[in-house]
Amino acid sequence: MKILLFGRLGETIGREIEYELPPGGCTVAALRAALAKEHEALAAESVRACIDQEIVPENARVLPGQEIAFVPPLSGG
Amino acid sequence: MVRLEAEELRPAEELERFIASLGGDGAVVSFVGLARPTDAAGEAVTGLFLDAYPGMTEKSLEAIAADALGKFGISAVHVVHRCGAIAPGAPIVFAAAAASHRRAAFEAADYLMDRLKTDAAFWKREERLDGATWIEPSDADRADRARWSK
Repeated sequence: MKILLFGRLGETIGREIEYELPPGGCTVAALRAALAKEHEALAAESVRACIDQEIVPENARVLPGQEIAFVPPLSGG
Repeated sequence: MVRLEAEELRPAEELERFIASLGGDGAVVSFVGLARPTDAAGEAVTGLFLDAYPGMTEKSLEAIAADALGKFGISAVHVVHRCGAIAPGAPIVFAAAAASHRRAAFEAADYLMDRLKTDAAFWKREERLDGATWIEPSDADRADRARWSK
């Protein structure tokens, strides 16, 4: 699945990264840990996960077909 | 009610269109935010880049506009926010509120801006001659936002 990245994450890592999600999905925490092996910036506590464009907690479940993103703290307008 | 604008923002046109859409209001208060030519330390800013998350950013603008409508008894709001590359001095946000009487319109416009500065889903990069910095809301922005939580 595609994982979308914004702000400084999008600039330093890329606008999207590919990840093979386990068929039954996984938690945000597990996804983050897996991605952070290659992209350390994603491990930062201030970086939040979004499922279908809503910021979600670490125990939220990521399922196939959802839109997943990691975002740095909002800067506001 | 709200629009995310990737191209030039023309405040005069937005205000004209907003006023034309109203029926029977007695007051319109509008605010235009411009990209500052200097950063917090006084260094020259050569450009601003506002990264948006298509869909999520619009939803955050809509939620802020809806809160303003519900909170101040106003009849309409109009918010246009730029994204992408913005030159120093260029308009970055237009926010307007319409009401029967001016007080509610002033308060709603003030509220809209305080919320937009902290809660709108954007990531802002300031570009200077010596490099670029991603920035977060200032303490002053957070304090302005907190005024409305009391």
